[in-house]
Amino acid sequence: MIRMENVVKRYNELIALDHFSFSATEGEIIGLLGPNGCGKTTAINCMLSLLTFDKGEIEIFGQEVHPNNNAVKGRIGIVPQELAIFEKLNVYENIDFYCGLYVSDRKARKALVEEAIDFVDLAKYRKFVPKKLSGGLKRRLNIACGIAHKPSLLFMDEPTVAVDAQSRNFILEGIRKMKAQGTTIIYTTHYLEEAEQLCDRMVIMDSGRNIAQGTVHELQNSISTQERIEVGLITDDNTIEAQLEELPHVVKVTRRNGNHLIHFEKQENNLPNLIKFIESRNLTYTELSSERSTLSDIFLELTGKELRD
Amino acid sequence: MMILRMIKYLIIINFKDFGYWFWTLCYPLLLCGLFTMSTPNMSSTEIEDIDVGIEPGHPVAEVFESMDFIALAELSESEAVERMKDGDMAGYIHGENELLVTETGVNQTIIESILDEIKHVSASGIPYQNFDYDREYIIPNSQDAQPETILFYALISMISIYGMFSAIEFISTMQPNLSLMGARFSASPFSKWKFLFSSVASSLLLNIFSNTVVLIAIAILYQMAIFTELWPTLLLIFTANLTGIGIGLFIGLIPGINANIKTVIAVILMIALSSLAGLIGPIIKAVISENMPWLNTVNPLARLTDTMYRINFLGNYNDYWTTIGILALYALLFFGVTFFVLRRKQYDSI
Repeated sequence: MIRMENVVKRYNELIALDHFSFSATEGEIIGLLGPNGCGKTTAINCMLSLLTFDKGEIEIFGQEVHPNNNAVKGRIGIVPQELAIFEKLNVYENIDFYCGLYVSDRKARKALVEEAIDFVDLAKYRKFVPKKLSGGLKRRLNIACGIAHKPSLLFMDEPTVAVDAQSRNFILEGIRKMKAQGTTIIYTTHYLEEAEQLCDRMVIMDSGRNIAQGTVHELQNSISTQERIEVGLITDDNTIEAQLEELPHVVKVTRRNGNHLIHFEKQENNLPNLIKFIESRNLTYTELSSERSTLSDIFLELTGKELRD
Repeated sequence: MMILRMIKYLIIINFKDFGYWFWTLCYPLLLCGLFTMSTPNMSSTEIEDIDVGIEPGHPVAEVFESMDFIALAELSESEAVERMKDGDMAGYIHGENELLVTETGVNQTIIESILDEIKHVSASGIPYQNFDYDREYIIPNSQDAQPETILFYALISMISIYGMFSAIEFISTMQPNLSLMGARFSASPFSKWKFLFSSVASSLLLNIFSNTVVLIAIAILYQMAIFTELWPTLLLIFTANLTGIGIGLFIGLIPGINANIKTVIAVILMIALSSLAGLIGPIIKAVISENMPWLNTVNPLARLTDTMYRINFLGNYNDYWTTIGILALYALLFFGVTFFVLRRKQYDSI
């Protein structure tokens, strides 16, 4: 559905996209992740043919993208990070306005607008102008404006920023529904838990490059720090932390909520080794849990920085 | 249908905007009220005589005597000069229909215009005495021969180009590097030409609407009959509307600055053009006519003001079509530039 191959985009001396490549197939939710300024929005704008690029190829629905390719544009939806709605139009009019950019038939459009209003649960606010809506409701309206024409491919740029928990869950549920209906979604977010829950695959970007891509599992396997085990030990021995560090494949030991958090390299038998260690020293433990590397860990290891850097 | 729907929404967006109502309706009506207060005789239907001196026995005396608004006196050139210096006389006709004046102004323009008509009629071989100048050539309209009339024509000229503001807003909204809505428009299959056409049509309809309300209000509220030639004046105003929208589109295309700064540029331009056209007083027109006459030719508002004044006040259509042509040319030029710039437009950065 999308093929982006070695795309280079320069802003004078700055390279915003550095031979960036990625692809998406029909019905996938792809998370485009990276810190601010890593090139996510530039990549999206190139795909939307809003921006020129210096090198590379972009194909959507098997066709080369260019500003006059209305056949392709008609099947794409866009939900920008900032609210792109008209303050003077009410909820219904805003959605009808944007839907009308794609659908000329009045009857069909009316049905689509009603469906979009129901989808984002704004039926009781249909006559409200945006300034009378809360931040979360405005976000929903912003989404409705982007999806009313039922696009096959949807770009969502941080749709849950500054949204309350209830609206966020509502939005995420809506995105799953759209996926179930066969929509391909390119999703950018700062919330890694959100990406983990929602996305089929992730593309991690840094300095305009695609530094890793795959499912969460594939990404976990691609880095050296794979597993963390948290253990709560009852002991007066001050050297226990040093002893834990001596265990095979331990990268480091830190403290969390009074427990020891042991970071292991990829290994099959980290947990058995730890249990063996505890038994050999007759230690009592109150808590023992193993956790896989989170997306945040993966991101940190791959880029050397936090996502919000 | 998509265009009609787009026009409908663009009009709704403006109609719900307080700024639209204030700047296009309240502000010009307030200005009009101030002008009326500062020129109390403007709404009078009495005709004020223009004192004109003429060489004794001059052949055109008969024509001037037949005009109700002319107070003609036969006297020598030296006497006339004295009276003109005292401000008691507007001009002195002598020799081969020559006009002697000691200052320029509306009254002098009127006398000169009548003399021009006489010259044209004479040149055509028709005895000028046989013509009814009141009816055919010089229509003494029901208003004062006060130069302050220019203020009102300049005001109408100014509001005729107000469409530039909505054009700036529309063109800024459609550009993805200037607005988020622009990104949504550009990413959609809705053609930018349809959007441009919708923008022009909405700006035109909105401004024609507000112009009409202002003209009606001037006639009803202020009891001013400054438009005796209604349809030709409306054609002028319509053409000026297109010019204003063209200027707005052109300003809206300036790269690297946001819509607010573009609006400030448009305000400055509009104030400058309308001031030079006579909005800050008729004296400015006289100064420009004397020192920089080319400025009146290139300033669309000055041309519009002058032509509205001439056709309504003097019944003079000499430069009517030239003015329509110049205004239309400006509009075509700006529309052409807009078309050229927006053609296949993609952005290096947004």
